[in-house]
Amino acid sequence: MTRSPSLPLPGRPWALLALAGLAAVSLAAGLFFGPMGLTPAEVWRALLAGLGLGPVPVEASAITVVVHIRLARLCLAFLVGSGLAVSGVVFQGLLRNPLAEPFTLGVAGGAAFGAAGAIALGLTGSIGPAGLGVLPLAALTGALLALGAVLALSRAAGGFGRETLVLAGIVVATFLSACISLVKALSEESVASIVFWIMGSFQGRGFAHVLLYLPYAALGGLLIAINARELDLLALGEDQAGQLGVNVGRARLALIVGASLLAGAAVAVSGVIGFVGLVVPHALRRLLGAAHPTLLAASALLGGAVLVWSDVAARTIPPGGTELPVGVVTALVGGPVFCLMLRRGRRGEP
Amino acid sequence: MIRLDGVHAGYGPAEVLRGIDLTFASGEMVGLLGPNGSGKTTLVKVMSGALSPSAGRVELEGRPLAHFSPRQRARRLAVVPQRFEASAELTAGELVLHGRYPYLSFFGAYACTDHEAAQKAMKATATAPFAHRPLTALSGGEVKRVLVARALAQATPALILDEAVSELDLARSVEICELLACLNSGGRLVIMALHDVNLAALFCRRLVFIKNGRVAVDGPTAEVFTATILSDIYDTDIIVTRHPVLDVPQAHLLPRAARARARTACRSSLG
Repeated sequence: MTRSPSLPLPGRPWALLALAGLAAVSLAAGLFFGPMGLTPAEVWRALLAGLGLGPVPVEASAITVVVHIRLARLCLAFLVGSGLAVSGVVFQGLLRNPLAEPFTLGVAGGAAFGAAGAIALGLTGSIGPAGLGVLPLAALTGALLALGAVLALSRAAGGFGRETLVLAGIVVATFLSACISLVKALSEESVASIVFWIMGSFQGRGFAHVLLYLPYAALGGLLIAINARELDLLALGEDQAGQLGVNVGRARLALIVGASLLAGAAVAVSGVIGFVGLVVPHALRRLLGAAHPTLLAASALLGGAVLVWSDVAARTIPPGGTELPVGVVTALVGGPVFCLMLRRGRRGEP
Repeated sequence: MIRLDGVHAGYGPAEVLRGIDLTFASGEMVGLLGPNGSGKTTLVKVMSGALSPSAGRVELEGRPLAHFSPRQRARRLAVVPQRFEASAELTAGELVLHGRYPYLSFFGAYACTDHEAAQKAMKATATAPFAHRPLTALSGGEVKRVLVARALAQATPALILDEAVSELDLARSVEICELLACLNSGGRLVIMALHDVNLAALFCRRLVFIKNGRVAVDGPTAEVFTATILSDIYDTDIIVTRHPVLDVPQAHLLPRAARARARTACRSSLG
């Protein structure tokens, strides 16, 4: 063997390029799907006009649909998908558990409870543009509290093993979902807005939501990016990471906060969307190996693309202009994959 | 190089180490022996900074260990862990490269020198052929050698092994020990916690026996490897003979039933 032992797997740069291509194609293709029935040429003209690039006279409604509805929604779906997948990678590495992700860890449920509480208490106005800024903060608080509860519960039950952690996540998520029902029951006038918002969906979301999500995503992404190598070592266990020179306390805190920022803010703008953070990292780890810098970048690209297509499916599958919550689509695909992973774990494979 | 002064340590209310005084100089090859639960692993954790002592001092190169940043510490001290679990996709080469983490620049990319150091370490441990294989596809002995390679890539003057050979067969154990002896002859301090007293006698010039969280015996192998001391440490009957070929002592167990049989045989032959 004359190859360098430390070269990355040969396919990695190409795989990343291919994923970037897929992401770009998904974003572009997403523009052409929708209940309005615009032809591709109309979409293209409206896009150019909307971006100020084409002086072509187009109907104002087409511009609104293509740019302010479809494009905004695509951007949001892509960013949320990226955030969920990246936060899944971080939780899986940190807890050394391939089943960990915002949804199974109860982080998404905590964020939903935090946001529902904020809505019920009237902190958000009636989710008007002004009160919108409160939602991510409330969701983030809920996310961190839920994560703390899950980790404490899991540790008390004997560690962060595969089943223990997921079980603790389910217990906390179930409890929180009961709490959300309670909040709904107690605050009748905001029921509609809570219900509308909690089912994971991109319906009615616009650039305001993109702007709302971006700062949190950027901060979370940055925290994770500068600790990507540390995540590699933390995945070997905290003792070993420390013995190899990682400042364990600092790196772990930065990663947990980063992943919770991504997941919490994602829930705040789109509601609860499960399994993206589980399936995407799982598939990519098999394809690209365990090096986290590559895995994180690839997950951001594929997670975004997957959620864009899930949203397209949510918009186009039901006949007659109605729409499925996108969380339903991801759960329909993600649930069976989760079962497969659980089975594989039972057979003793990591 | 490493000095422990009245070290107490444990987990929560359970105290495992109850006053440890030890000094290790560079160039030594030391065997850390003692029964299960005597505190060997805890001692390794304290020496490597993974566990802070509840009382006493740990010094590295004359400075308190706690004053080193994790990176500074990892440039001086490498640890080969007892147990190892990795995600299924991690390759041997990647794991060895992790040994270069303490030398990583701010931007988080491993430099040419890091790749070279990793390559050299893999050659020295004969692990280069499976650099691209996932760790889960390697045998226990191969994984141990990869872990030693990682410690080697860390380029530290001191190396601590926590039961590095406990799960290995005879040939694999000797292989690892020979590798360590070779590293030691280059001037490295090697401290190895292990269960096989005969292996320790073959390779270590100094033995430290830990029992009930204290240093029970500490001295040159030739002086402390005796039937009395071994029997006392392990609470069982052990006899010591010379190795038939080498000038080192070797221990043999003498179980109770066998002892009784030996006595009967002796009596009947006399009667």
